[in-house]
Amino acid sequence: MDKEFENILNSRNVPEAPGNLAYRIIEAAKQKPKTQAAGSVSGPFWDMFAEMFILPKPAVALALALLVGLTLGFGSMNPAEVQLQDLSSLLQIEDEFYTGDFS
Amino acid sequence: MADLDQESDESLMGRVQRGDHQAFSGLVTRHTNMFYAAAYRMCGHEQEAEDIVQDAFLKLWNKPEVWNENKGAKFTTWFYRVVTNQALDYMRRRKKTAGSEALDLMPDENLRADEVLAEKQEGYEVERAIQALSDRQKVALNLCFYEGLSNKDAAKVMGVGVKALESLLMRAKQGLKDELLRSGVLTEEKGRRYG
Repeated sequence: MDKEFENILNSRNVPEAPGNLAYRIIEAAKQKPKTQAAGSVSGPFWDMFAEMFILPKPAVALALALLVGLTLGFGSMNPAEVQLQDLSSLLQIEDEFYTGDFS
Repeated sequence: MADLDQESDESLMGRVQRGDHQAFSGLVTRHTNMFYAAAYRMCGHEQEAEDIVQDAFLKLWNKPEVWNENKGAKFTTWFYRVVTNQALDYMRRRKKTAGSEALDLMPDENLRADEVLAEKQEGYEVERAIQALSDRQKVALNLCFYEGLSNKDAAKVMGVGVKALESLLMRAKQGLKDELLRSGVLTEEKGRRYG
């Protein structure tokens, strides 16, 4: 049956390409200005520079950034402590201001 | 043009990268028929196959820098990939806008069964069975069976591993056999119903 199966697959008919298809493609390319040739004002250096910021897999990058952010967030001090510390540093400045001791 | 005929695809592609339109014409003239046939086998639609080949070549002309000879791939293998991706895009888009293709493959219902030539009917059944495969199975079958690419090259074209390609190929053949057996084109004992 395998041979017959292959024969059937081989008998598949494919229409010939239209005679002018190649010509049409060549002409269409003539009409279409090349993006490169159209003179990218930026030039190769700026192209390379811009490429540095292109993320190959934005979804993966976003997920990783979220993960790192969450890990760092949970790892840091608790918010109440942070707030206390911030206030105390403010008070210290105020204190120095009133005593006029800037030395 | 005589010089162009003797120049390798890879060398012509190098010239295309320098904006040489004559080299581009050489590549198009040389390969249009082959890639048209490949595109047609994938999508089963003449107009769509023309568009696929034209878009693929225009992409190549517009962005020739995507070809990198140093990667060691043959131009044709690489261009199969461009055409295949283009074809998959077209097929995906077509699926979204409902099965217009199915209508193209339908036999004329006004014809009486005995008026339909057996061979034509068989051709229709084979085409219908192939088009019923999943897009990726269809592409795998076309690249390996009709285009004669090695499994390794076909896997490269499709961007999958060789094992994955072999599995796609196996499922495509099995699906096709089942479908042809069901439609009676292929019979277990005799092989074929017609002929």
